[in-house]
Amino acid sequence: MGIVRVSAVSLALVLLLSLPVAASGFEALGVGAKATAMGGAFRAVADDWTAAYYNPAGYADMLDNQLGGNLALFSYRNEITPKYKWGGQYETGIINGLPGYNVDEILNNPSAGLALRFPVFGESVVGLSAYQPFDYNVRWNLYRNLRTYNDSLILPANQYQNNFDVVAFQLTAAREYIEEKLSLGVGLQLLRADLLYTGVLFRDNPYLARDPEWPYADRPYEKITQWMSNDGMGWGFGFNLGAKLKQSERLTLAATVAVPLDITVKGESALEFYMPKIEIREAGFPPSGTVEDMLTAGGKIVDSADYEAILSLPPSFGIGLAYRAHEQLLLTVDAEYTLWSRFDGLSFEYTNHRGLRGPADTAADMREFFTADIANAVDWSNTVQLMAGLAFDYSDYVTLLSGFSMDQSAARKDEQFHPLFFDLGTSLSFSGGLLVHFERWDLGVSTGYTHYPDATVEDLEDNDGDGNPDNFAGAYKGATYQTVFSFNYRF
Amino acid sequence: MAKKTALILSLAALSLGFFGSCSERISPYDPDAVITGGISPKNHVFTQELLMQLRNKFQLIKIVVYMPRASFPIHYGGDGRRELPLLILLPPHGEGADYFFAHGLKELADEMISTGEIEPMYIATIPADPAQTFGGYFYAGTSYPAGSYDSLIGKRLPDYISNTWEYPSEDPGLRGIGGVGTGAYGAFRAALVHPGAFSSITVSDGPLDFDGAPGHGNGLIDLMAHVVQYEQTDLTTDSLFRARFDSSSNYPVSRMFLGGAMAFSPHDTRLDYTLEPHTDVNGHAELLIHIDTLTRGTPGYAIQDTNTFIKHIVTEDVRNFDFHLPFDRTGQPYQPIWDLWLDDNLENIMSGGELDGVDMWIATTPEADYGFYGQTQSWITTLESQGYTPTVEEYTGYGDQPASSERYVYELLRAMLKFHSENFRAHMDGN
Repeated sequence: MGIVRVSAVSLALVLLLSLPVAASGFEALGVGAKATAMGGAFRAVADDWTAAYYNPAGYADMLDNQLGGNLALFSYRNEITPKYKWGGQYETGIINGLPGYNVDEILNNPSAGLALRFPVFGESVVGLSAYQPFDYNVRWNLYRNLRTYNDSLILPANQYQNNFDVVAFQLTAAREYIEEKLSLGVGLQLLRADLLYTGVLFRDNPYLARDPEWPYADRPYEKITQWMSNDGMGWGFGFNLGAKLKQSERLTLAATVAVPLDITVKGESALEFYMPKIEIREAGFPPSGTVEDMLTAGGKIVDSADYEAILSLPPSFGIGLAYRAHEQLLLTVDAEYTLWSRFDGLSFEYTNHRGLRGPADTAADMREFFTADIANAVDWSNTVQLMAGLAFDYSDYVTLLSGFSMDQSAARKDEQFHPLFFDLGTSLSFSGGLLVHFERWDLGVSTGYTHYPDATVEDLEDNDGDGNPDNFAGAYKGATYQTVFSFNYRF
Repeated sequence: MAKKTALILSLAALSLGFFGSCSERISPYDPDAVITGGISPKNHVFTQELLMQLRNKFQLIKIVVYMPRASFPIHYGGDGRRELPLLILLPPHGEGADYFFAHGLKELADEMISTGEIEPMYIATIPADPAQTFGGYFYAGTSYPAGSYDSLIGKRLPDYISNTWEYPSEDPGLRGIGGVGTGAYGAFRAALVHPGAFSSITVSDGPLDFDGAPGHGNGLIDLMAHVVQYEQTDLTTDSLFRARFDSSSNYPVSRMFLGGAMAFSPHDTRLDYTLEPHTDVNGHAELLIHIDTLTRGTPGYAIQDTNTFIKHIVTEDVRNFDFHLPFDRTGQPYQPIWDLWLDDNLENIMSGGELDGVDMWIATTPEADYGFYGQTQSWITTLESQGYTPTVEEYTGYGDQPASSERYVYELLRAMLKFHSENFRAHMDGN
C-alpha cells in the first residue's frame, strides 16, 4: 500500500469515527503553522515551542533550544439574513430580509516562544511564550433606526462588535520522568484579557411603567434603542498540564488539562440612547425639559460609566495520539472536551455614571432606566472537538501537512445564537500546509478553512426576561479562513 | 511524479486559502435615499357643516395634508390636469389631526413613495373633534351640536382639498378614505352616504355594528354598564341619573357615548337661534349667533319622555345642547333612544349597492378595546352577506405589547397606504 493511499485511508477512518461530534465558543483557531495545518491534532507531537499551548510535556522532547514565532492571519466570512422582528412580524430597525456581512477585515494574531534546555533536575526544558488561547473579533452593522422612530440619528459604525482577546504569558517547564517513555510538563499562565464589546439593545420604553397607554409609546416607540460600548481589560491566572507517553516506537499518547481562572475585566463604557423622534406633537406639549419631551424629541442621551464584568473561561481536557505509519508519514488524532457551560455570558455592572443630564438624571425611574446594568446571559453547552492530522516528509527539506477537525458548537441552541458569538453548530475545518527545513530553520505556512453549517433561527428569545432579546433570529452562514506563517530556529 | 503532483496541489490549496477570503462584501447598512414630502396644515371654515358645532364658534376645522415631493406626477386627469390620488384618514375618538403623523405617516409615506412601493398621493387628516368637547361625534349626523360630517367628509372636504392644493385629484377613482376606531365608522359612513365618492376604504376595528350580532357580542350595549359603573354617581332614580351623570367625564367610553348622543340623539334637533347685527372692533358689520338651547316647538326626534335626558353638558355655555343617552340608569339600552342610534348603524344606513366597486380592507384584532373586534367581525359578515369581499387582515400584538388602544397604527398605516395605492394604480392603468 503506497504512502498516499495509507494517508487517505487513515484520514477517512478518522472522519468516519468522528462524524457524530462537532466545534466552539471563542477559542483561538490555533497556534503555529505546523499544528494548525494538522487540524490541531498536535498533543502527541508537540515538538516545537507551540507545545506550550498544545501540551507542555512536549518541551521535554526538544533536543535543542528553540526560538519561534508565528503570525496568524484570519478572516471571518459570516453572513446573516436577519429575521429580527417583534413577535415575528413587526420591524425593529434591524435590516431584515437582506444578507448582512460582518465587516471584512484581515485580522492578525501574533505569538512567539522560547524554549531552553537547562541541566536542572537532570535535564529540564523551560520556556517562555506568549500566545492567545482565546481570541475573537467580529464586527457587524445590522441596524438603522426606522425612519418613523428617528430619521435624524445613526448609530456608530461598530454597532455590534466583540473584540475579545486573552493573551497567555506562559512559563513552561517539562522534563522526562521515565526515560524515552514518559514526559510531564506544566505551564503557568499570566492571562491578560482585553475586551471591546458593543451591541444594540432594545429596551422597553420606561414611560410604559408610568402609563401603559401613553400614546407616545405606541409602535414603533415602545422600545428605546440603546447602543453600548464596553472597553476594558483584566488580569488573571491559569495553568496547563500535559503528559506524553511513548507507548512504542510508532505510537505516542498524550493527555492535557488547561485551566484558566476567572478574570475580572474592568473598563469604561459608553451608553447611548437614541430616543424616538415624534415630529408632530401637541402644541406646547411636551414642555421642554420634561421626561415626556426627552422621550419624544429625538435626541441622543449619552452616558459614560465604569464597568466590571466577570469572564468565566472554560477549562478543557484533551487526549491525543500520534502514530508513525511510515518513516515518512505521521498520523495524529486528538480529542478535546471543553467546559463551555462555565461561561455564562457577559454581564456588565456599571458604576460611576457621569454623563446623564436633565430629566434622565433627576427623574428616579428614568435614571434607573439609563443606568441599568446589562446582562448578556448565555446558557452554553460543553463541547467535544475531534481533530486528525498527518505530516508527510516529502524530502529532507519539505514536510507536507494536512488536517481536519470537527467542533461542536457551544451555542447550539436556537435561543443562544448571536452574531457576536458566531458559533452555529458542528463546524468542519480543513487545513493544510508545509514546512521548509533549512539548516537550523523551520519555515512554515498553513492555511485552513472552517465551514459552519447553515442555521436558521426563527424566533427571538428573551432568556432573562429583561425585554431585550438574547439571541438574534435570522438565517446564518459562516466560514473562517486562516493562514499562518511561522518560523522556528533551533540553537 | 505523484510527489510533484501532491506538492503542486498543496501549494494551490494554500493559495486558495490565503486569497479566498479577501473579496469585500457589501452590507445593506447605508440608508436608502428618501425623497421627503411636506406637511401642510390649514384651518378652514366650513360654515354650513359646522355652524353650531359645540364650542366651535368659528366653524373651523384643522386639515393637515401630506404632500409628496412629486414634481413628476405621471397621471393626467380627463381634463388634462396633472393629478395625484387623495386619501383621507379619520383618527379615532379623542384624537386630533396630527394623530396619524404622530404614528409615522409622513416618514412611512416618504419611504414608500421613494422606493416606489406606493404611488405618490396626498393624504389629508382632520381631528375627530375640532373643539375637543367630547372627543368626537362618530363623524356622523346632521345634528347641530355634532356638525354635519356626512356632507363634510363625503363632499366638501375632498373638494376643498382638490381646489386648494394643486394636484389632489377630483376623480373618485383616485380618492380613498380610511379610519381607525370611530374613524373606521366615519369612513364607511361617508362611503355609504356618498356612494361613488371613494374607490377604496381601509379601516381598523371600530364601532362598525352598534348592536353586534350573535357570536360577536352585543356591540356598544356591552359598554353601557361600564359607563354607569365608572361614573359612580348615585343613579338610583331616573332624576338622579339625569342630574348627576357627569357630562364632563374623562372616561373615554363615557365621552364616546356623550359624543354619539350629540350626533345621534340630541334632545332637540329643532334649534332656535337668532342672528343679531353687530359691529366688530374694526367697524365691520357682522352677525352674532344667539342660540337658545331650550326646546322650542316640536322636537325633531319624537322623544316622549325624559328618562335619559341630560340637562347640561360640561359647563354653562351659550352653545350648550341637551341630549339623550341611549341607556338608562341600570346600564341597559333605553329603547326609544337606542332606536335612534340604531338608525345610524352602518347596516341600517346601507340599503344595498352603495359600496359596489369599492375596494375594502379591514384590519382587526381580538385585542381591540371596547369590543370593537366583535363589531368589526359582525360588519364583515354583513358586508359578505351583501356580496362584498373585503380584504381582512387579523393581527395581534407581541410579548407584553398588546394591540389594544390602537397601539399598532404605525403597522396598519403601511398596509393601508399600500392597499389604497394598488387601487389607485389599477385605476390609473384603466383597470
